[in-house]
Formats: sequence, C-alpha cells, structure tokens
Amino acid sequence: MKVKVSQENFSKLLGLVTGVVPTTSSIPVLSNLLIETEGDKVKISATDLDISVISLLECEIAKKGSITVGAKRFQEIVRELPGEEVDLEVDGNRITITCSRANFRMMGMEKDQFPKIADLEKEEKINISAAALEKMIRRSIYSVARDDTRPVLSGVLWELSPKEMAMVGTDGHRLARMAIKGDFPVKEEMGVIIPPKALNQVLRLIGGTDEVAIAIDKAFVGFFVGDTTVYTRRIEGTFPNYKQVIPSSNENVLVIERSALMSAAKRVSLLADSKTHKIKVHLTKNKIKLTASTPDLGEAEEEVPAGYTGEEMVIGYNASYVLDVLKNSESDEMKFELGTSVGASILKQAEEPDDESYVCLVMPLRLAEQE
Amino acid sequence: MRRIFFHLDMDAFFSAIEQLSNPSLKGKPVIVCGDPRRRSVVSTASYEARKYGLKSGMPIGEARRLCPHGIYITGNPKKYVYTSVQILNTLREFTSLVEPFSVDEAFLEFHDLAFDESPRIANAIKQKIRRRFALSCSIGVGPNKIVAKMASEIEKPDGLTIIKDGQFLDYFGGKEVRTLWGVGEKTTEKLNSLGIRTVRDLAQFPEKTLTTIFGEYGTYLKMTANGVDESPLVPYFEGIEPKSIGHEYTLSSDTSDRRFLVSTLLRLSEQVGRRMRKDGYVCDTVTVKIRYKDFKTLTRQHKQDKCIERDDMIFERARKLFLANYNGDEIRLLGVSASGLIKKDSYRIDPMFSIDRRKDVFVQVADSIKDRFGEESIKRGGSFRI
Repeated sequence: MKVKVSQENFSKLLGLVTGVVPTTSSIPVLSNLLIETEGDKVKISATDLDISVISLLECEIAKKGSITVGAKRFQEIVRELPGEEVDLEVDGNRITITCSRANFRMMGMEKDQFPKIADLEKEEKINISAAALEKMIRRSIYSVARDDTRPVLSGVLWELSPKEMAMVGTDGHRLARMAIKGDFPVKEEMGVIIPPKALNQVLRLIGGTDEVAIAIDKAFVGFFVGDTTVYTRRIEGTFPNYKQVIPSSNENVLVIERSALMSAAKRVSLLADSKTHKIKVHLTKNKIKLTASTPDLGEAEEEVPAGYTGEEMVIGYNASYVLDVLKNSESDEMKFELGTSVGASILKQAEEPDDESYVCLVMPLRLAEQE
Repeated sequence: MRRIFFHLDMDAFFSAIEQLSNPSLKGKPVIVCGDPRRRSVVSTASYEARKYGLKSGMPIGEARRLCPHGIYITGNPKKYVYTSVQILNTLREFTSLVEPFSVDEAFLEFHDLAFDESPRIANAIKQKIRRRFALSCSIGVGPNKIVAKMASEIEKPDGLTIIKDGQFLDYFGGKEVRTLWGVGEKTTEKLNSLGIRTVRDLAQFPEKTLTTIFGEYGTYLKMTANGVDESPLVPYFEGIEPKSIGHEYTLSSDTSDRRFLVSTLLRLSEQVGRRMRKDGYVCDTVTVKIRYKDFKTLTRQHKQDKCIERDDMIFERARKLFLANYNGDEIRLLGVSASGLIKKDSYRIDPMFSIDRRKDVFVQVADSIKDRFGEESIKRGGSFRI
C-alpha cells in the first residue's frame, strides 16, 4: 500500500475513529487500527467488538494494500507531523510514515488478524434529521444506568414507528423519554437497545451534518454520518415496560421557572450530603422552598416563587436527578406533575414544539418521619 | 438508684440451633461436638440427650456409650455466633445495657424497675426470643450479676427465677460451695478442708481467715457466698460507624479455577450485603481484593453513581472488577468489601420497576429466613461449591 493524505484531515479522522479503541484488552489486535485502501479512498477502522467506527478519507493512491497498526501511537505520530501531506507506505508488517523531513517506521500486523466488522452498507436505510437524533440522544442518555446488573438498562431504548421516534433511558430510579413526531420511513414498530458509548460516538460525528442514515439488522445498528459509519451491537433483552410506571393521575401540578429552580437547586444542594444529594422540596400555595442539611456541615434554604395550588407536601429528591432534567430541557418553565411524596414525579417542559414530547420521571427519596 | 440484673442463658443453644436448621432432628438426642470421628468432647447436648446423662465437656467416646443412637454433629461456630448477635440485638430492644457474657449468655441491667415488674419483662423477653428465633432460654433475676447468673441455673430449660435482696441464702444456703459462681474443684477442696461444705458455711466464715488463705479471692468468696456483687455491667455497643464492610476468604487451596473463584465472590458478596443490610447501610463503592499464591495483592474498586445494598448488585460489580483485573494465576485469598457507606434511612428511594421491587422482596425474605434459621439456611445456587 502506498498513499498520500492531508495531515490535517487524516489527523482529524483518526481522532474520531480511535475513540472506540479499548484502553485495555485481552485481544491485542483490538488496540490497533485497520488501515486499507478502498476505491480511491483510504479506510480506517477501529473496534472493541461491540462498537466499530469506520471512516473514509480522500487520498492519492499509488498502490493498494492494508495493515493494522497500534492506534494510540499512530494517532499521536500523525497529530505531531510537521507538514501538510503525509505519505504512508506499507511493506509487509511495517508501515512507513513520511512527512516533510520526518520519517517513522512502525511495526504492525496483517489485515487478517483484525476482527471482521459488521457491514450493513447494503441494508435498507432510514434517514433522520441529525438535529432530531441529537436531541433524542442528549435528552435520554444521561438517565441510563451506568452500572446495572441488567444489561438492558445500561442502554438507550430507541423506539421507531411510522409516526414517532423516541429514545428512553432509565436506571430504575429515574427515566427520561424524548419523542419526536413525524413521518418516518419505518414499516413497523420496533425497539432497539443501544449502548451509550455508541451514541456518544454518533454525537461526536453529527455536528455539521443534516441527515443521518440508519440501518438496523437483528444484531447490529449502523449510523452512517457522511464518510463515517458507527456500528454497534444491539443489547439483547427486553426493556422493562416503562409506560406502565408513568403515573396517569398525578394531580398536583407545579409550574416553575426553569432557570430560577435550577440555580436555587444548585445553591441549596451545596449543603446536601455529598453522597445522597438529598434536597427537600416544601410545596405550599404558589411557592416552594428548597432545603438541604448535613449534620456536620450546615443547612441551606431558599424559596422560589412558583405556580402551585395542589396539596401541601414535602418531597425529597436526589438533587442531581432533578438538575439533570432541568439542564437537558430548554423551555422557560417546567411543569412538575406530582402524586404523593413517595410516588414517581413527572417532570416536563411547560411548553414545547408540537412535534416534541419530553417526559421525565424521578423517584423521590423517602423522608424519615422526623424529617 | 435501684438496679436489677437479668441473666439470660440460652437452653442447649448449639443443639437447639441445629434442630432448628434441620427440623428432622427435633425431639431427638442431638449432640454438638468437635469432629465426631476424632477425639473430641460434647459441646452441647440437647435436652433429649441429657436424659442419658450426657453433659457438656464429656468425651465423645463416653457419650457414645451412654447414648449410642444419638445424632453427633460437628459444630458450626459461625452459625451460633450469628444467632447470638441477633439475640443480643433483640435484647437491646429492652434495655441499652446488655453485656454479652458468652455465645449463649448475656446480662441485662434495668434501672428503677421494681422486682415485682421483673416477671413481666422477663416473660416478654422470653416470648420475643421464642417468636423471633424459635429458641427457648432461662432467665435469672437478681440484685446483681452473680445472683442473677446463679438464679438462671435453678430452673432449666425455659425457666424463670427471681431472687430478691436478702433471699440469696434461702435459695443457695444449703447448697454445696461448688455451686457458687467462680468456685472450682481446687477451691472446693480447700474450703472443704476448712470445714466449709455449704454456701451458708462460707457465708458465715470469718473473712479475715479467708483472705489469709486465699488473698483477695477470699473477699470475693465471702461476698459471693452472701449474694453480694458489685461488678458493673459492661455494655455492648454497636460501635463507631464503619468506614467499610468487608469479608475475605482464604481458599482451602490455591486455585485459578475461574468458576470456583467467581462462586467464592458471590458468597463473599452475599455476606457483605447481608451485613450491610443488617447494620442499615447502603454503599456506593465495591472493592475486590485478590491475593495471589505469591502473596502479591491487588485491590481494585469501583464507585457507582447509585447506592446499592442488594447481594446481586454487589456481586455484579465484584465480578466485573475481578474479571477485568485477574491475570489467571493461582489465587490464595479473595475479598469483597463495600465502602462509601451511608445510612439507609438517609437514602431510601423506591425502585420504579416491579422487577426491582420483587428482587428487593426476595432479599428481604431470604434475610428473614437467615435471621430465623441461620446463615447457612438459604443460599444462592451460584454460591454452592461444585
């Protein structure tokens, strides 16, 4: 193989691809990149067996070929290269990188050592707006269980149907569901569970693109963003029936300015227990009071004006759960639909575009009687 | 301030626990001892076995002659200690002044309690222990520890004896000096040689002579014989808040068998979870300790964003940590511990999904079975040694 690439573009591309390279792996070749020629482009692939990123880059090809080479070093070398153009030349297991007066030779491995990556190029694709996809990902991914015993909860559920798409994340104590209405080229309703790591890869790619093509088969999902593709293995299993746990009769409605609540909650939680982040919300007519206390630290209290005519009560929350919802919303006002102080609270945006629906659920912290 | 002391003595404690964990032993002569195949002595004989003259401390050979059809069981100290601690905690519901005296005995102290009220309390304690553990005990009540202790010996099993101030000699005056607490064979011989045979003899004997012969112990003898005791109760405290709760296990032989090692982690995780729940904590960090054959030791921990208390969740993290860090060499010791502990009361959050609620209930049920029948009574399939 002998190719010439632009240093800047090649370095940028390597930055995108190497994100999936596992830091430690029992399979040595996984810490490598696969570099090969395809048509008139150079193709770089990286995988951790669950998630793979493949990216193509325009180049001048003098000779076709392939090699796999240690990702981290190779990326660092290319990033530091002094000139505008880089020559890559493969001879057996060895790659030579030449740029201006710099010259590097690295040992690699042959292509057949590299695991086979899913290929959904020929599958039927669904096109979706990049902005909608980004919104769905950002508004659900933070709720995903980071370390649950159930693999299904460690992924985002993506529901696809002809009229609505939604992503749902939950860790069993909170839930976020972002839905977008529209006409989607989906034949039948389906749900796929995707690891957050893959969605984070997609997020890194979609800035600046309008549309993303998606292909789904039994085991994999592919996201085609320009010249880059992210493949992810689907998480197997049945997602819990989350619709069942969304209360239908939470009658106490609180309407409150989002930024006022967010800054008050941030301030008050400074004196909340650093592990529990417990704050209490005292709801009275047209006003709420946030309080936090930690025995060795002190107490905090702040009132926030609000629209509330429901039952007077005190609810405990993990402040970070509430703040996560507020941060990921964009409306001026938030609407809390509350049932009892122990049942799930529904958090919504008070106003949102007609084609969007963002619903979050937060389980309250039980308060001891003397509190 | 008036003080009343209770001495609680569990009836045939070890064999009663064995009979509980294996109901087919109920009503049978059960003898808990060291390894019955080797030379050992009777540790506890059930009341059914005592009918044949079996006593604690008797060599197994002799016991077998007296009671050849007895069921001889190797003791399981862990099980007994566990139940013992549970019982102590139950006793603390009655008074904070509880002193564990041995694995099956404890002293309790009550202030400003009339002697006439003590039967009501003693019976309430007995009832609670019976209901919670299905075990019986004998209680002695007295103005001090010695009298209470000796009172509990009078009626057994399931007895209650109350000795008020000044009644001590009515109960024990005519008994041999040996029955006194703290008087052994040698002292008895010496006392006998002085013409002292009964407790009353000793009670009336000049203290000076006793101290000349026995030194300070002479004073003790004189006081004890008169039912006088000033020793304080040493209460058992829960202690300072722990920083972590952990268990370690040295394998019976070094191994690199992953399945076996993972099943050991499950057992350890269960123990950690159990203790955490019992002490009312949840944790946010799980640590795994691996000690290899060559004593090279590795600890790795994982902090999660969620507080956990369930065995399966502790295990899942322990297992992941282990598999990510294990180099495949033979292992000598494994440990699992939970840290970042917070009191559960300060962080109680109900699960959203019914499957989690079911798992929580499962753990609660398993815990209450263990409370009643001991740690070994119910286990996860995966923790069995194959």
